[in-house]
Amino acid sequence: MPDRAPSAHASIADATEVTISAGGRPIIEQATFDVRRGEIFAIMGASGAGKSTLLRTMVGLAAPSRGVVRLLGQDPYQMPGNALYALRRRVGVAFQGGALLGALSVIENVELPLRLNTRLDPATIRIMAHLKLELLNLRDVDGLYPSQLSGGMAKRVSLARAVVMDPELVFFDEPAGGLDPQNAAELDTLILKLRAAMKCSFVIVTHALDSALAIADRIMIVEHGRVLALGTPAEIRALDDARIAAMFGRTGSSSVTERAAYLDRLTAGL
Amino acid sequence: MSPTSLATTLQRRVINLGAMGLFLGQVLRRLPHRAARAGTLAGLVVAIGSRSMGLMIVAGGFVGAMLAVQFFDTLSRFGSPSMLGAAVGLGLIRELGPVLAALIVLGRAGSALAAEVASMRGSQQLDALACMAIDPLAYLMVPRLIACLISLPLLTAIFDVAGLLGGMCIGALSFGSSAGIFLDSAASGIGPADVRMGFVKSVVFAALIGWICLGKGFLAPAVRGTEDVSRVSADAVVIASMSILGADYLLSALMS
Ligand SMILES: Nc1ncnc2c1ncn2[C@@H]1O[C@H](COP(=O)(O)OP(=O)(O)OP(=O)(O)O)[C@@H](O)[C@H]1O
Ligand SMILES: [Mg+2]
Repeated sequence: MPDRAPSAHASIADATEVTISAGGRPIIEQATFDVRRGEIFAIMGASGAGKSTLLRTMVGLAAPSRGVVRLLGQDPYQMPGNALYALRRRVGVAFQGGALLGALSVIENVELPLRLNTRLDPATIRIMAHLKLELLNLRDVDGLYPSQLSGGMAKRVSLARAVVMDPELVFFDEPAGGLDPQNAAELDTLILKLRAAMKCSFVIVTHALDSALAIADRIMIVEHGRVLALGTPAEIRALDDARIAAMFGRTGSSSVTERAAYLDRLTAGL
Repeated sequence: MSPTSLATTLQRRVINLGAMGLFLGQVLRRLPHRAARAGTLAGLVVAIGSRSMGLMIVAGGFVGAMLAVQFFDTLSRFGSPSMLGAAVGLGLIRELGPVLAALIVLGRAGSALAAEVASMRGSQQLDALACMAIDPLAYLMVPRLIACLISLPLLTAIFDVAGLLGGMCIGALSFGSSAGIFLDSAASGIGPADVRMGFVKSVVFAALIGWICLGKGFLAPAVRGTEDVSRVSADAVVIASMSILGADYLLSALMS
C-alpha cells in the first residue's frame, strides 16, 4: 500500500465523495472529509442524519455504494481479510449501545482483544485491562455482566475495550447518548485524558453541541445525509447559517460564559 | 400473488439460500484452523446437553413405551411377541431416536442458538467482534457448530436407551414378557449397520440444526428488537425441522 507523503496535516482516516445506501435509498451522500492524526474529530447531526451509518462505513463494516474511505491510509474494502484484521488491531471502535458481549463479564470483555490477538500471558493481560478500566474510573466492576451495568458504565467499559490494544484511532458513537449532563461531561474529560495518555486520534459522534465545541478540534455537521459544515469550533460558531444557528439556539447554553465555565470544568479534571 | 411478486420472492429465496450456503462454506473453512478452546466447547456442550437431557429421558421413555404397545399388537398377530425387543430397538435406533431427539434439541437448544446469535447481531456484538479483529465465525460459530455435533449424538444415545428401558418396562408390566427376553431380542436384532445409521442420522441432523440456526441468526438482516429475534428463531426452527424430516427420508432411503 503506498503511503502518502506526510503532509502538515497527515490524515489518519478520510472519505472521498462517499455515498452510502441502505434499503434502496441513500443515507449519506457525497461526503468528503479527512480526520487528522492526533485530533478529536466530532461528527454532529440530528437523530437519523446518518452518523452511525457513516461510522460503520468508515470502520470497514459496510462498503459505500460510491466513493472511497481510507483508514490509516488504506481502503478497508480493497484488502484481503488478513490485512484487514491487521489494520483493525490499530483501530478501536466503541458502538452506540456498547455492544459488550453479554456472555462475558466486564473484565473478560476488556481482555478479549488482547486474549485473542496477542500472545501475552493471562496475568499481563489482566493488568493491562485493569489499567484501562482504571483510566476510565471503573473500579470494582470486574465481575459484573453487561446487563448489570448502568448506561454510563457500559459506555465506559466499551471505551476501555476499544482502547485496550492502544489503537492509533478510536471511533466512539454517542459518548453522551442517554447520559445525564454530569456523566456526559465526565466522559468528555475521560476522552481528553485518554488522548493525552495514549496520543491517539478520536472520531466522536455526538448530539451534544456543548461537548463537541469543548473537546473537538474540528466539527463536521451532517444533515439529511449531507455534510453541512466542517471546521474548528470557532469557525463553526462563526458560520452564518440559519440551520446551525438553530442548533445553537436549541441548546440554550451557547453563551460565552457558560461555555467557558464548561471548559474550565473539563480542564480542571485533567 | 402476482407474477412479479412471485418472481421477487423466488429471487429472494435463491439469494437467501446462496447466503446460507456461503455461510456454511465459511464456517467449514474455519473448522480445521481454529479448533475451539476445550473449555469453551465443554461449556457449550454442557449448555446444550443440560437443556435437553431430562427431555430426552422422559420423551425417550414414552416413545419406547408407545412402540412396545404398537409392536406387541402387531407381533402377537404374527405369533412372534418374543421379537418385541428387536422391534422396539430397531424403531428407536434407526428412525425415531435420531429424528425425535433432533426435533427436541432443535426446539430447546437450536431455537436458543438462533435467538442468541440474532440478538448479538442486533446489539452489534458481531460487528464489535469484527472491529476487535476477532473473526465472529471462528470465535462464535465454529465452537457452537462443533458443540451441536458432539451433543446431539450423545443425547440421541440417551433417548435410545431411555426408549429401550421404557419399552422393556411396558413389555414386562403389561404383556408379561420378561426383561431378559426383551433385552436378548434387542441385542440380537440390532446390528452394527443399524447403529451406524442412527449415528449418521444424528450427526447429519446436528449439522443441519447448527447450520440453519446459526446461519439464520448470523445473517439476520435488520434485528431491531425482541420481535425480530423471536421471528428469526421461529423461522430457523421451522426450516430446520422440515430439513430434518426431509433428510431423514433421504438417509433412510439411501442407507437401507
Ligand atoms: N439497514 C438499514 N436499512 C434501511 N435504512 C437504514 C438502515 N440503517 C439505517 N437506516 C436509516 O438511515 C438513517 C440514518 O441512520 P443512523 O443510525 O446512521 O442515524 P444516526 O445519525 O446515527 O441517528 P442517531 O443519532 O439516532 O443515532 C435513518 O433514517 C435510518 O432509518
Ligand atoms: Mg447513531
